[in-house]
Amino acid sequence: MSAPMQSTVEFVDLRLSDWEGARTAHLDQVPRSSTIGQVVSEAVQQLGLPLGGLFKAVFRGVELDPAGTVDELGIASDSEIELVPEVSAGCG
Amino acid sequence: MTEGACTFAIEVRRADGALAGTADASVSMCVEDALFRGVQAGHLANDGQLPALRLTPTWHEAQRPSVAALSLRLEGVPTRHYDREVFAVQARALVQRLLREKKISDGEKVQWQVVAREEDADAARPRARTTRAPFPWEPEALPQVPRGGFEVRFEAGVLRKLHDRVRASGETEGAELLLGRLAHDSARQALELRIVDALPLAAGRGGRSNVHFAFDPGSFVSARRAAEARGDGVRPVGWHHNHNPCAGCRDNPECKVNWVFFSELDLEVHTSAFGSPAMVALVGGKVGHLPAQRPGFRLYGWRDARVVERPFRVEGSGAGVWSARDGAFLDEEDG
Repeated sequence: MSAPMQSTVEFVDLRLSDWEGARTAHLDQVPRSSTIGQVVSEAVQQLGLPLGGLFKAVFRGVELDPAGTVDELGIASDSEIELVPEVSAGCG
Repeated sequence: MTEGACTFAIEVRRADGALAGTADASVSMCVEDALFRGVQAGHLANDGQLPALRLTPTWHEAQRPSVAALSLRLEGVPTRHYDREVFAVQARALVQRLLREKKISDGEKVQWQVVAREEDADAARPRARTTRAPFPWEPEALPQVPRGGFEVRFEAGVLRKLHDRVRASGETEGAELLLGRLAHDSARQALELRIVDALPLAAGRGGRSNVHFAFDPGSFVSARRAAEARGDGVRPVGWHHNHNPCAGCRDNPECKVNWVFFSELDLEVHTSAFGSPAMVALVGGKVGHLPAQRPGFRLYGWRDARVVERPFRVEGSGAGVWSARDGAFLDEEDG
């Protein structure tokens, strides 16, 4: 009888694209303990997106909690995440 | 990838020169502009590759490291020059953040500057790389577009649909995702953006009012999915929103107040969500010399890494009498 398998993968590779699909940041060896906020910050920096503080992460159409970790949110390696801004227009 | 690499930052300083706050500054709008122009002109292949680049700051006289302008050289492309104003939207965002954090006070006089410093070549680099998609244009002969030009054309029915929506907008702003196709004539180095439809954008968490329209990720993602579901190859190419007239404008046909302009908030939306160089923004509302019941439009888009007003053409029949001079349909009663 074999012992149950335990996950020893502590890192994931992630792809984060702007919502237009024009540019993609490939982040390798991201610790699973990283928060989504940290991942977004790194990707925004890699892509050189202006107004980087406005961007949120969307995975499979669902916005991710920036305080949640990659591990907690079940983000697997090679997942594709979108970077989408939260911003307001208007004449005010 | 980057020779002679510099990092750029924006500094906000008080009237006495004290530093109130700083933030990293992005030069991506300049890089995207140079790449787009280089590919349009045929200096570079449209293969998504970014060649080696070199950024050279021009210093304010005797004020190094304060940047007055910068030059960007992409290998194989003539050098392009950008003035400090390309950073204005990022400087405004920093000022707003400092206000929220109460590091500066409302009404306080502050100044901003861009500073550049050489990157530390020995600094640890994260394990990351960036890829990009080719520009999404289709080859086509464009004899109607001047050589080297980039023109925008609306189908009249799209503008009529937006016109009717703006007229009926009541006391809340509305917004749409513009859909279309980009055509490129490599022999003439010409581009034409054709806008063929507009899909409603849902307001985000911040809601909407008479003076604002908030987008959240769901606003953009759901509209893009609706566009993809059409299956006809059109893509998001920009956005439209309207500015509502005040009550006085509605009641007074003689009112000359103009509500069609590109606000600082609008600039944040375009910079963050529509940053590709071919993306455009249409604003609808009361044009100064026309009554509120006859809304008009102005178009804005990227040029030299800044958002500026740009002309557009309207084609097609059956949608009404379009006046390019007024930017409005002139075929109905004012009332």
